Amino acid sequence: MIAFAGVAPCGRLSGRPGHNWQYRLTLFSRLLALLLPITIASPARSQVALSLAVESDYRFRGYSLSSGRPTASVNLAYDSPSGLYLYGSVAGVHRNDGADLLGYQANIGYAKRLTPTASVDAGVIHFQSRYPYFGSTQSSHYTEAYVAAHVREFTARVFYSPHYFRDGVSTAYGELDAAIQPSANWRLNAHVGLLAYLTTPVYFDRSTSYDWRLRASRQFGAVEVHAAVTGGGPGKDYYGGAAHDRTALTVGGSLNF
Amino acid sequence: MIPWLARLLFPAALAGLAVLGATAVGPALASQSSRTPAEAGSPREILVMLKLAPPHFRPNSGYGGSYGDAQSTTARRRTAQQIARSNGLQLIDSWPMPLLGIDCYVMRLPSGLSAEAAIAQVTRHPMVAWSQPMHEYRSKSAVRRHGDPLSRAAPAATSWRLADLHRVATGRGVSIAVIDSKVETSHPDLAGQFVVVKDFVSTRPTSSERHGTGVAGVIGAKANNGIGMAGIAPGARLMALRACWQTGSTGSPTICNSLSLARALHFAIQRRAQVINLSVSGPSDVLIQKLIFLAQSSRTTVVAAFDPNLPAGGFPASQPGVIAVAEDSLQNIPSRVYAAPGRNVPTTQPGGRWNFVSGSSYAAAHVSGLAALVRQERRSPQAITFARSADGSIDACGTLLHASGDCVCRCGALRQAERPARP
Repeated sequence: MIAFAGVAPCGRLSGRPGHNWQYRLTLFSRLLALLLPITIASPARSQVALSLAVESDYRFRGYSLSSGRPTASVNLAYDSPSGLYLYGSVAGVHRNDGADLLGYQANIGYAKRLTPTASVDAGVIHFQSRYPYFGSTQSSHYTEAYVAAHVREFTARVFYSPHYFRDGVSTAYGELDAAIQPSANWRLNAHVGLLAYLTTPVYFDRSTSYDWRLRASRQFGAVEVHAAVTGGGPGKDYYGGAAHDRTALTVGGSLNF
Repeated sequence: MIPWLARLLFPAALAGLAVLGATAVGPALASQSSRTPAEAGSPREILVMLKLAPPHFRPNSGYGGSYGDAQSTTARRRTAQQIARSNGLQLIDSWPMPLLGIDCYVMRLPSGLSAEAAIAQVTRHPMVAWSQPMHEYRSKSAVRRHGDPLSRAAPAATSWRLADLHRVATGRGVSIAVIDSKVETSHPDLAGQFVVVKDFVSTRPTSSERHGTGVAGVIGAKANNGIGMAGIAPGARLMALRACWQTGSTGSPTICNSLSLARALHFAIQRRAQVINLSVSGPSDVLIQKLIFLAQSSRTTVVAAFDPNLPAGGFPASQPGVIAVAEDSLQNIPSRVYAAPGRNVPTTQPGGRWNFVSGSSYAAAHVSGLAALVRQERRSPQAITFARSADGSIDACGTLLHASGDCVCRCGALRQAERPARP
């Protein structure tokens, strides 16, 4: 139990009761209610983008949040040339007993271009997920603030979460990303990340964990398809009552409007 | 409440990807592939620049879900389509230029609508940073048919004392972007000289072209390989960036347009080219101006061909900071313009051949090569100024060795002695 709680990001063994989920959903609805009027009121000055996406496995920092199951999501993004950006996403997962809601994400941030090749970025992201646990539904969540620097093809980003998937666990996550565009429609991406626990309960495994990813994507007009190899350590990923290797190949696609 | 939402997500996403995706792919690809170089050079097109949000975090961009860039790119394209539709234009191509914070869209004008009127209309849209006509650029060169293989007749061999210069520097490690027509990179005198080969003309692949192959040869043909000729900077790392195309057989011009040049320039800046050679000339262009300014702010040396028949010598040679070069047989060139060898220059040509060429295009290529020698020798990206001899032409030895006239290789004096009197 200690090992699971220390390395698994979704806190599968320490989730909250289901009624909290409804509370979070209400919060998310309010965020969307805030987002939609902004996007509708100023469509000419900003970019509003809607997408439908499918993924063979929803992986987050080297762990599967969908228990190795395929997911589908609806994503709404708002980009302003001023630098303000908003994002909301609702994802569903295909489990043994049918489709189920996996979770949602909401993100707000501000980016500023310093030079033609360098920019900085700061924002907050909230993630809420739910998962089955011995016949009941549990939920977990985290909120993170982040700052980032983008220089040419490279991005360095640091996240801080005061409650990372459970109360009393604060974390810092640093990541480095590199992206190249070998041709107009291809994009290659490499990522490494390191998660460190800052404060934890006394019984908590504070082992620092890492994750990595190599990803290739190809755009066909409004459709984008991608494949990624992800991994991380130390330790295994646990879901479906069994341990799974952290290294996985995932594929997915999206339709962008 | 929650399960029904999830049950809706899967069918919606899968059906959307299958049905709408299939319809979305076709028109987008068809519109790009149907474009020909001749159409691209037509004055019936304008460029519309949409503002780009700064790069930022996007959840799910790597771990799952949709890729953020694809999502925002599609949204901008939708905006561009709306602008085109509401103004009676046809959207035919696009290219992102993140270094300028814009996405560039090409729109075709209907008959009866002038470019000026269309630009005034689209510029009213708040997402439009600016709009401009699609300009056309031409090389200024000629090929003289010559049956003999290449001799030691390169003007730079004597007037610039090229062999002596190569004792000091060969351009080793300096990257030069040759933005031109398609270079024959497999030419025996050029093979292995290129670190990047890229085609920015949205047409079907074509065979190698004369102008680009000739310019690349003047800049970077291999030295001491026992064949052909030596480039001015045989140690440089060349980027063959095709932005222009040959319009016909020998004697027909090589042309480019605003978008193809901008694509290649943007790429060269992203790849940190230290010298950019633009052996083309045409009207002033805001997009290319901004890109050249960006290159200069990164201490990149930009060299362009001077055209006496265009106002201010043509653009981009007229832009401040750009090294404008004319062939040394031209008379009455402005003082800001450098004269360099550009008459009967032996260089590489398609088909593994060599030939003699003339024009300011090749004079500019000489100076791009010399700039690479200077950058190698100085090892710092400071602004390059070229020493001049009494007749205004470039004193290559004086430039490289800071010893004009009585320099150690005495190239200045020899050049003066060997140079025929100007008419």
